[in-house]
Formats: sequence, C-alpha cells, structure tokens
Amino acid sequence: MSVAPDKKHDAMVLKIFEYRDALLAYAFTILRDWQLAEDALQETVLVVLNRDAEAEPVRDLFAWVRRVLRNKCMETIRSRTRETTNEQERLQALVTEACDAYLDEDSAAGLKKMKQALRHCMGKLRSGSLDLLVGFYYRMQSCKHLAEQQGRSVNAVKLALSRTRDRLRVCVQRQLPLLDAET
Amino acid sequence: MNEELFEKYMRDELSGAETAELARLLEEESTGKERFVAFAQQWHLFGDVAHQLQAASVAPAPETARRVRRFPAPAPSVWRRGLSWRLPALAAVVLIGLGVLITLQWDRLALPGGDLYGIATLVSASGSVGVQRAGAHRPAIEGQALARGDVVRTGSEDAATVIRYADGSVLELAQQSAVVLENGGDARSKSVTLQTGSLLADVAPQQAGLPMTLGTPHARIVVRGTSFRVWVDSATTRIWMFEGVVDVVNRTDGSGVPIAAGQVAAVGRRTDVTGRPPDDASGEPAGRARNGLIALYTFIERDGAIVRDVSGTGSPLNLRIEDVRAVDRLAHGGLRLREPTVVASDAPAEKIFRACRQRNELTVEAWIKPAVRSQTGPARIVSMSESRQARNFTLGQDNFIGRTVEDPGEPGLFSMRLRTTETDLNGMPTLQSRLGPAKLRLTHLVFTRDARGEATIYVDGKPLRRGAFPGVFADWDDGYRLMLGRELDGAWPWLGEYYLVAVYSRALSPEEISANLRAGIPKHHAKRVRPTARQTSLLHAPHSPAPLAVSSLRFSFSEF
Repeated sequence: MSVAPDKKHDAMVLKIFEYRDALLAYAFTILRDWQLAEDALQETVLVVLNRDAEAEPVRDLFAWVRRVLRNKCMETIRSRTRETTNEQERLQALVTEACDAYLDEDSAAGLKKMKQALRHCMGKLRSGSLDLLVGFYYRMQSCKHLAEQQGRSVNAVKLALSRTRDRLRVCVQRQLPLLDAET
Repeated sequence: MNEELFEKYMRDELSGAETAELARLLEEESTGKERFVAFAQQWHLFGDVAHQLQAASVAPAPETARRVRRFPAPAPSVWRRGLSWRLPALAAVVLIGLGVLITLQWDRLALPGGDLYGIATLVSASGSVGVQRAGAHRPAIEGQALARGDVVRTGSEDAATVIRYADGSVLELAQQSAVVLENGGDARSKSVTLQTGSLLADVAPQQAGLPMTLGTPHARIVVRGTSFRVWVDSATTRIWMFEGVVDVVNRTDGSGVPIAAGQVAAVGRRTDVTGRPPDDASGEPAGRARNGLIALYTFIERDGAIVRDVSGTGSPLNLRIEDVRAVDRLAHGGLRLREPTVVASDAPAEKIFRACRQRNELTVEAWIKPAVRSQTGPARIVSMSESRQARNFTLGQDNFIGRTVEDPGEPGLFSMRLRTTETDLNGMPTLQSRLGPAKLRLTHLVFTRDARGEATIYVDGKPLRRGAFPGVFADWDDGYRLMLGRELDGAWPWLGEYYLVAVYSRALSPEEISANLRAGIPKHHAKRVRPTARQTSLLHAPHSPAPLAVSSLRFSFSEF
C-alpha cells in the first residue's frame, strides 16, 4: 500500500488506531508490561507524526509501523538497567521474530474481530469471573496469590479459570459468525 | 507443558534452563512459534478486555488512575502540529453526534433526577412489558436505561424480562409482575419493590454497608450478594434461597430472620422458615421416592439461565444454561434444547460424588422427550463428566452399531456409561438398551446400579436391559460437574425436552421406579404433555418385571 505525501500522516495514524489492539499485543508480548507496551505504541505515534512530510512514501504501511514499534520495544528493553544473559537475548530475538512472522494486516483484522467477540462474551460473565481474569491476566497474579486473596484453594482457582476460558471459547466461537454476518 | 513455559515467559519467571528450552521450541519446532504467538495474543486480549470491562463497571480508584499513564506528555510542538486542527473538528463532530443521538434516543437517555444513563438497564423485554415513568406508561424497549422511580410491569405472555445493574446484578421478572426501582436512600445502594408477581434475583456482592433492599408488601429483604426467588401474592411473600444468606424483616411484627441457601421463608402475619421449598414451588410430584435423592430438577423456571436443584438435599446444585438462545422455556414448564448447548452446574457435583462413592450405588432418572431419533455419540442426556473422554457417568441416546462401517445402524436406543474400577475412565464398555426404545414422545428413563454391580435400564417402568458394571466407584473424580445436553467441550449434543431429572445415591427398586412413573411429571407440565396410553396403562398395572437374561456388557464403538 503506497500513500501520497499529503495524506500519509493521517493514513498512518489511522492505521495505528485501526490495528491498535494487534500492535499493542505485539508490544506486550515483547515487553510483558501493560504500561511499557502502551508507552511504546505512543512513541510510535510520535515517530509517525514527526516524520518528514517530504519523505519517501511508505510502500507497506503496516509493516513500517510494526518495524517502528519493534524498534521502540527494543529501545525500552535496552534502557532497562538489568543485565541480560546471552540466552535471554537469544530468546528475545526469537520472540520478536515469531511476533513479526504472525502479525500482518490480516491477522490484525482477525484479532480486532476476536476482541469484539470477546468483549461481548466477557460482558456476560459474573463479576467474580471477571475479577479472576483481571487478576490473572492483567495484574499477572499467580493462582496461589489469587487463591489466598479469595480464600479458595489453588485448584479451585485453576478450575474456575479453566471453566471461564471454556465458556469464553464457546461463546466466541458462536459470536464470530454473527460478527461476520454483520459486516 | 509448553503452555507452562509460555506462561512463565509472560510472567518473566523463566529459569535459565527454561529460557533455553523456550528458545529451542521457538527455533526448532514448526508450530512452536505459532502456538506461542497465539498464547501471548490470547493473554493480552483476556487481560485487556477484562480490565476494560471491570474499569467500565467500577469507578477507578485513585491508585488505578495513576497507573494508567506513565508515559511523559509529548512535546507541545509535536501535538500542535499533529492535532491542532483535529481537536476542534473532533469536538464539533462529537457535539453534533450527541445532538442527533439525544433527539432520536431521548426515551433511552433522558431520565429524571439527573440520571443520564439510569441506574440499570432493561436488557431483555418482549411482548407487553411496559415502563411507567413520571405517570406515563410506555412500551419497554430492549436496552432502555431505567431510572429511580420507574415501574416495570410484565404481562401474562411475556418471556424473560431482565433488568441488569452496572455491577452485574440481575433481576428477572416473571409474568404478571410489577417492580419499582425506588427513590430515596443512599444513591449508591439499590432499592426495589416487588409489588406483585415473582422475580429471580442474582445479586453481585454489594459494597459493605450498602446492601440492596428488596421490598414487598409483607417483607423487607436485605441482600448483600446472593441468588434467590421471591413470590408475592395478596397474603404472603415467599423467598426461596439458592445461594448465600439474606435477612428478612417481617413488616407486620418487625421481626428479622436470616434465610440461608436451600431454605424457604413464607412471610405473612408471621415468618415461617422451612428446610425445603413447598411442593408448588419445587414442582416435585407427590408420591415420588425421596430416600437417597441427591439432586432433583423439575424445570419449573419460566425464564432465566438457571435450572434449580429442588431436592432440598444439601446445598442446591443449580444448573446454568450456557446459551439461553438455544433453549425454549415451555409455556407450562419444561425445558426444550432446540439447538446444541449445555446446562451445567457451575461447580463440581460434590454431593453426588460423595454420596455415590460412599455407597457404590446410583440411580439416574429422566422424564424426557427426544427431538430426534437418530442422536449419537452417545448424545448426552444427563452426564457427570469432564470431556468427551472422561466421566463418572453418562446417560445418553445412541444408535445401534451397524453391521458394516458404512451401515449407520438403527437409530434410537438409550445407553449408560459408568466409571468403576473395572471400566475405563470414559465409563466404557457401555450398557445399551437393545430394543430401540427411543421414541419421539414423553419417556420415563431410569438407570440403576446397585452395590453388587447389577445395572438396569428401565424405559416407562419396564426393565429393558440388564447388565453389570462390576467394581466400585473408588476412581470417581470429584472435579466433574453435572450437565445436561452435551459435554462441556461441545461434544455430542442431545436435543429434546426435559421435564424432570433426578439423581439418587442408591439403586431404586422396581417398585420405587413404578412409583416415580406413577407420580408422573410435574403437574404444571402435564397440562401440555400427557402420558401416553401405554404409560397410563403401566401406571395402573401391577408391577411384574419381565425376567431378563443378564448379558455381558456390549462394547460401543463410539470413541468419545
């Protein structure tokens, strides 16, 4: 996809917003921190806005945005003071390579639809199940921690998570064709 | 194993060896990368969406708000260049949009008392449901915001009418009911009055010191988070608790009493609390065997996603319909599974596990009407299982095995799988009723297994198949849920109608099975589905079980 110079800022920003979820998932997979991932995406937006209006048009806009985001993630990792081993650096490179391989415009569109379906399905969950998902996936709390917090056994928490995932999986499978039909 | 590695990566908890192992997986295994990326994307989606939904329903705490943005504000020049013309334009578009929306959707948005979005939403309404606001009565609209002071009324033919609060609390109004969303009190607390009719309340945990109050002409019910049903008639209010505890205050004498799960309170001039629901509330036909009864479902609910365990034994093991759009609540009771879905307990069926494993006996009974003769898998009618390959027991409908691979066999038989120390984890080999009795009519189906291992499948009181499940129940799994309709993993759906399902922790005798057959289906179902002439003749015939040969178990080739 090639973009005319006078429209390219708008097109790039729109592209980022359109595929924000997929780009954020990409950054999150590399950084494993919600806030750092958000920050990396914000900085990517700034790079796009700062880009010289007279620069060469970008041929593959999505790939270009992804590359900028990848560089921002790498900068973030490098800025951490913690020392890394060779093995960790190797793993980081492989993770980034895997993310690059499976994030294109099509998969981003699929992820966007998946999120829409998931939002519908999670909206039907009881607040306790939602709390469990937030604790486990968003706050990255372990099952042990959640079990202590809720006064339940670790197995009970694992079981509850597993069931919630099952329910969501079934619900999303039902919801996706409906979304397809709507579009 | 790989998922453990992926999870540890996401949590940044990999050891040196695990780091090397994950690197090897991503480098060498062709599907490793794909699975890893899918796992990480799912993690992100789950966390992101769950957090957004939670944040939308709860006002952000100051600490949370601080966490949202750590990124330093961008240089003014950058934002001026990029957004200087966009912001006013965006604001104008938003204002115009709001104007159009308010004009078109005033009924949904404009609420008295400054409640722009209301205190609750009418998420489901049909037929003649109406909302009375400021003296004016209008037909209800699905998705309509409700404000304090609104009165919601349902008609005689209305299906489930559901009111949902932002915290997930749900009120499901039955037919011919009227509920008022009360004014007054603390703006953060919920206060409703059921003037007449019945409602099912599924209330999320409320803030400390701010309980929900449900009033009726006879009682005030203080709710901190639980599930119960309330009926109001001219003389009494009845409350049937499914979970947790509520405090019930009698308006006549001012006395208060806590009502716990499984209890029923009748509040009139005085308050009576009983251990099990009254017959007209439970729908249990008179004259049925009760000794050893662990779970009983009479499908009396006319709406909602819950099927209540009305056995009165231990904590109720209620079932939840996964997809209410796939089922019909029949006009006089009963549940029709029109499309594949599962009706399953939220928690493991511990009381069934404990009682049956202790006695090594079991009876599973169902009054059903199959929708299709040729259902296979076996199609799950009643199951206590984990997946298509692991179960404690499953009562199902199946086909005869054909003589060749191409031959689908003869449709229509009932089958039982039961895990013992002599059968596999899938409860196989399967015991099948060979006479092809699955007909598309009301059917009384019973499976019994006694402590000696003798097993029988009865259809309409007649013992059609006798076999043996040797061994004991020592291998039963305490983590399996009770379910109707299909497996949790989506496998082998059964389609048809349920009128009664019961599980006993002992083998009912032939006489008791005849008594249950004689008792029939819950009386309100009988208005719609009448026993056949054959069932009627059986009801009145003296019990004389035909002698049966005890056969070896027949192996079913259904693998799942």
